[in-house]
Amino acid sequence: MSNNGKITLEELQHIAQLSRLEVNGEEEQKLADQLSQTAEYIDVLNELNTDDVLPTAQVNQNKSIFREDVINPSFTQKEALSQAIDTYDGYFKTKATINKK
Amino acid sequence: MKITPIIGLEVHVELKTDSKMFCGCNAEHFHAKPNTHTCPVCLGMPGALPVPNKKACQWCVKLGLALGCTVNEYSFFERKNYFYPDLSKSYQITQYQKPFTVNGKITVQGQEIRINRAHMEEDTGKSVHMVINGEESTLLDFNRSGVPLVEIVSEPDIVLSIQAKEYLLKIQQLIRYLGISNADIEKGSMRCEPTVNLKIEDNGKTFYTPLSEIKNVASLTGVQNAIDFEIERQTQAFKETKEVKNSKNKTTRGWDADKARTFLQREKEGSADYRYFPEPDIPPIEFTPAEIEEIRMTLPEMSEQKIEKYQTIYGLSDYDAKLLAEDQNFAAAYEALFDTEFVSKDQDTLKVFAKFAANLFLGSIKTYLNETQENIDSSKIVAKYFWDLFNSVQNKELSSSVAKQVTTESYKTGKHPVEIAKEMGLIQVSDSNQIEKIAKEVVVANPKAVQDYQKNPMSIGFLIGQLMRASGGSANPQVAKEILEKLLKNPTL
Amino acid sequence: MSDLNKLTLTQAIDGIKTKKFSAKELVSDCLTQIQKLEPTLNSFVTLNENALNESENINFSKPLAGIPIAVKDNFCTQDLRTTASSKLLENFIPQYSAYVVEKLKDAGAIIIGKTNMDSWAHGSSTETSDFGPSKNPWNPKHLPGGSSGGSAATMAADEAIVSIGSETAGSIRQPSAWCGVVGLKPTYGRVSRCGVVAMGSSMDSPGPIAKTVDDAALILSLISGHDPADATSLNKKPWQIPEALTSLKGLKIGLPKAYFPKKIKPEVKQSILNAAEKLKELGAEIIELDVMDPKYAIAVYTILQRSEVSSNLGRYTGIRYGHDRTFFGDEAKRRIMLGTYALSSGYYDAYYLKAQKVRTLIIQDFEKQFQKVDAIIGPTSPTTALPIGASAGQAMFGELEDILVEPSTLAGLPGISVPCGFADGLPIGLQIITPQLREDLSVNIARLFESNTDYHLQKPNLNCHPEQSEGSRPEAVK
Repeated sequence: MSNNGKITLEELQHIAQLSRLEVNGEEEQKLADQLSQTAEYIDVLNELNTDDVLPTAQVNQNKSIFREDVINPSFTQKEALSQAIDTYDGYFKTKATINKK
Repeated sequence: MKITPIIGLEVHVELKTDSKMFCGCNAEHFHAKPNTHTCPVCLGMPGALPVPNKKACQWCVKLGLALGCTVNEYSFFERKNYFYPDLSKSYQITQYQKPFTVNGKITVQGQEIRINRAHMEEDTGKSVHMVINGEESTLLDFNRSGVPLVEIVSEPDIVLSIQAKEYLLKIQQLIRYLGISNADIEKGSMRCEPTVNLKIEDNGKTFYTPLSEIKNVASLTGVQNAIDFEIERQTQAFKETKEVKNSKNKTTRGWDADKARTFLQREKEGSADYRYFPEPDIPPIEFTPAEIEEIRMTLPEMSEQKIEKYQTIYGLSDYDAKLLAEDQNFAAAYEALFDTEFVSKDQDTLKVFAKFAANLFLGSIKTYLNETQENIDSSKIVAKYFWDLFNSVQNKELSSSVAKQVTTESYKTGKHPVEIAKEMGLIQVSDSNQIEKIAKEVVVANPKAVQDYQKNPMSIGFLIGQLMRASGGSANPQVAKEILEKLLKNPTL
Repeated sequence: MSDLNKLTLTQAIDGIKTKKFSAKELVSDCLTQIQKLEPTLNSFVTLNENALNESENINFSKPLAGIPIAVKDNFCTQDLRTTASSKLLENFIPQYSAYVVEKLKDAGAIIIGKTNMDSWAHGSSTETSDFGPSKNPWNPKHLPGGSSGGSAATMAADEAIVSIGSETAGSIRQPSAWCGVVGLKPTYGRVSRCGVVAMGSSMDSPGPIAKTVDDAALILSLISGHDPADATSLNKKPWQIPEALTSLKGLKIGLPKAYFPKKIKPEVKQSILNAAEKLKELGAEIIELDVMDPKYAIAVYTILQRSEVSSNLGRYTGIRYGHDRTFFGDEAKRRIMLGTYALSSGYYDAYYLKAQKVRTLIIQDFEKQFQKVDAIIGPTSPTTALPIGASAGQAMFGELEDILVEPSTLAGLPGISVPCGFADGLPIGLQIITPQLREDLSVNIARLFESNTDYHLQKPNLNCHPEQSEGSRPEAVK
């Protein structure tokens, strides 16, 4: 399945970046080890042949569930903004978006 | 060195449903106070769940059908995960493995452009960047968050920037025909992202330059210019670096309309990893063949069909037919002229009328609408008026130019055009007795001109002019000329 | 009257309706108990300051008129802080309520407080709460289980009349087993997820944790039903409490060999075998089953749940509500990152898709078993409540602890855990699993078992615990 379940520090940093999480020095190795441990465990699935098996995304038989195109009441601006740490003139406010690589 | 551009287009269209894609908030976001069309779902609050808007899904299928796509009988939504402040849930609900519709094609100026897919998704909120108290800030408005979007992805079949423009015009017209979006590029309800690279053949070798996706193009001309700029830029870049396309070097470039150039926005798109997976909050969607047929039945007659009809049944020119079919409401108003009790049963007359009416529609009404920036008001188009006008011209009571003049006036005022012509004294007199009487008076009153005529028959124009003046302009000039000639050649009459 | 807090739901409803006592007295007794025990147990993250006021004005025509109910802190409650036991949401006061909360309020219930849980429901111990661990009322040196550990503890400790939990895999059943109370996990889609902080969206199921099977059944009948705001909600009428059975004659009950793993605590195994014997006495036929090894379910669950978590927790960016992402604890970080890894390009097929396929095999295995038997029983947990500190640093603690509930949760099946014994003074739970939508059967088997045993009548001796000294003190704003 994977590269025998080991997650490298480089992979870990890539995953952390994709997840918008910061992983500092000491945490790094510990997390990589723990994730590797889990990844190793889930390799057990390779014991099963699933060649002709369809994937299951949902366990109930619901399908084609829609709502009608009807307008419902929205929050007031005050309600919408009530839980935000920082707002400005009816907007949510955050630090300028920097496209972190 | 032979260079062939390879151009694909991604078009996003905001549907004009009443409510948003996955919640009941008002989908109209233009000019609304910020964050007043929001709820737990479109703000991505904890525990909020999306429920798809039925009409939006049906409209997406309808659009797919109009693009000649196949509808997937089994489809589902997926989550596209990425972080951006205007993306409230940090994932966009979209379609990936199983979109609603796939594999269509449209013909643009005789060339077929394949459509990869037309799928359903949701819009993001809007960010405004500004400096507040000396700090670079991003302000966020989520009124647009969750507005239904259809994404139309073409195959890279386009080779010219003008073709890209024509393709977009065609898509725009089609969407407006369906009445599912305003498809207004300037207002952002239709957005276009061209992806461009080049096929370069040199010394028997073929190279492909790295892909660039161009964003922020806010006009049709912009699309054309951006593509042209990019073709030139990539050509130069290739000459300098010889870099060729790989899975990691796709870039995203922005279009700066003021400086008329593209600029690098994001490098190495290949490393973006959206971690798509089936949206667990929304059950799969199945369209039965019967449901698909039902949607297909709601498709209006499209412009191609109209153009063909205008040419074969009404005998119009290709040029006129295309102009008439450009706007669906305009075309419908034109067609209403034939859906009346006054319509002629005679095919030849019908064709003459069709041409006559087309001239009035394109010559008078369209000119008027262009001047006033109005849309056509079909209630102001009265079939009887046009047939009466047609008969008047056929009977030579009115000239074609007068017909044009009074048509505009009639559209503006609602008055019968022939009445207008009468009031303005523009009715032609074709009764030869009446004209002969005036002609005789003119001949008597202008002996010098009569003499001139005897020397030079081309000088009859002066006498015709006198006759027209004496008749108050109402005499049919052709008839007047014939009678004058008869009198002058035969002074005893 | 005193100690009204010790009443079951059925008794409390009757007492209020017949005016034996007032709702205010009932709420007041619960609050007294909470005040007395919270320093030890830490079952709650937030108490509803208005509970007593609300109890003064009740509508007797409503089924839960004046009943104090404890709700897990991952259910959004309008105007009442909702944290999912994470510091990230320590100041979050929802502008809306979860469907279940609305239903309970409509039925006249009073939310007495929000119960502690594993932060973001990530765990089976309630030890990973950012507001300190909850303790097991049977022995505060032990864990209550989780993630609905606070809710289960309130039932064992009589801090409320009834409670609400939520389960992704085991989070209702396992803490119920460890606390010696009844936990009912409904069929996926039976109870709306709307307004419940999402964990594993394709599995999350809200449900009751109660003192008796009847109480749990009554609550399920009130919170189930179709919710148009949850597209995965089943288009069914609210679940109806079935007629009680007097015998299990004609019923075939399966006992999977694989549900007795090597590491199972011997007393747990013995209690389940005794319970099977009891069900046999009551008329059921007990059939040994060969089921798929639960280790596969653990792996599937781990992948699917982590993947869904990684996406579900993306919205917590600190812009619209809550703090920023640096406020996630270690367990949440681990889960987000593993899920991100499993979904990332190059790994999707090997992990996510493979897990979805094995999920199909697990469902098929249950379908096969249910051709042979009407219900399946087994231990809810292979152990009794573990001591505090057991979960620390174990990346797979929850999964291994919930080994016996994961297969059924992946198939969306309903299950119930009822008390069936004790070992070293700690309770043991029996779980009963049935096909989807057959809560009637599991409830009836559980009810008959309960009425023929007295495990549910035993209560922890809450006075013998000295002030808790070990473990961290709750930091929560009360």
